[in-house]
Amino acid sequence: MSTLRTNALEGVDAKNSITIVAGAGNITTTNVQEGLCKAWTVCDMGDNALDDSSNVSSLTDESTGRFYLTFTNSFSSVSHADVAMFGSNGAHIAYSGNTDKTSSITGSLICSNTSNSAVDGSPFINVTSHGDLA
Amino acid sequence: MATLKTNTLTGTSTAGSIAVTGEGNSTTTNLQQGLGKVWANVDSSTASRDSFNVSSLTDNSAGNTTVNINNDMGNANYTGSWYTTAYHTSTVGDFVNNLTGGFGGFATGSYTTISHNGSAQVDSDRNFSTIFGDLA
Repeated sequence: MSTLRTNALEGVDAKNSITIVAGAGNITTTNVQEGLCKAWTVCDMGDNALDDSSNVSSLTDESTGRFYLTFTNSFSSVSHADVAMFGSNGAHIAYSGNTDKTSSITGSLICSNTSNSAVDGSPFINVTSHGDLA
Repeated sequence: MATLKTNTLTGTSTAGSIAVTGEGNSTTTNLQQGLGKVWANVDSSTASRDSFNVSSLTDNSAGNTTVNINNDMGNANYTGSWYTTAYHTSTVGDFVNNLTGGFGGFATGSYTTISHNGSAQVDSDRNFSTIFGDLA
């Protein structure tokens, strides 16, 4: 068994692209950077706390049933793939197109409770974001 | 192109932390934080089609399944996404979204998924879940 010890990985030909053999047949490769989840959090609209997170710097309470997350390192475009689950309430997510709320729509994500906008989501709100970092 | 061959990756300063250059070449992301720690494609009747880091499934009741994690999470504050599709007995297709539900609860060694038809918990044909967070 060999163990590589390092603090950082970057591609040789392109710093932002590393392939790794991942197929069941030990032939197919996948891209490390593309496959990584770039931001995730479990948070609470009741106390507006980030209970745990990666690449999320803050949660801002916009109104009842609506908040936005600010990413530490922004995405390169708005076309990142996000999933938000609001406890027992149905929900969807929307990007902020209003620059007076956020400096960049690549750097934040608005989440709202569309099942009942008058209700803050129950404690367990789960958000994951995949896509390309800036 | 250079190929590095190794079986294991470990951080130098911190074993569980390796930075990876992001797609835009200007920021880094964390390898360990970004990896999906659990994923599962299961039937509510507790038949697993395929999974990663799942030791077993527990059928608690109709539409209520516990996914038992092989290598436990470090705490219960992890996150993820979950999706269910058709009724277990449905013939309308795998990806007809006629049920709702979500996670029923998180523990370090397991999480529970629930599928619901609006009035009661019901078994569904396909339950997809992915988990991100800190391993123990």
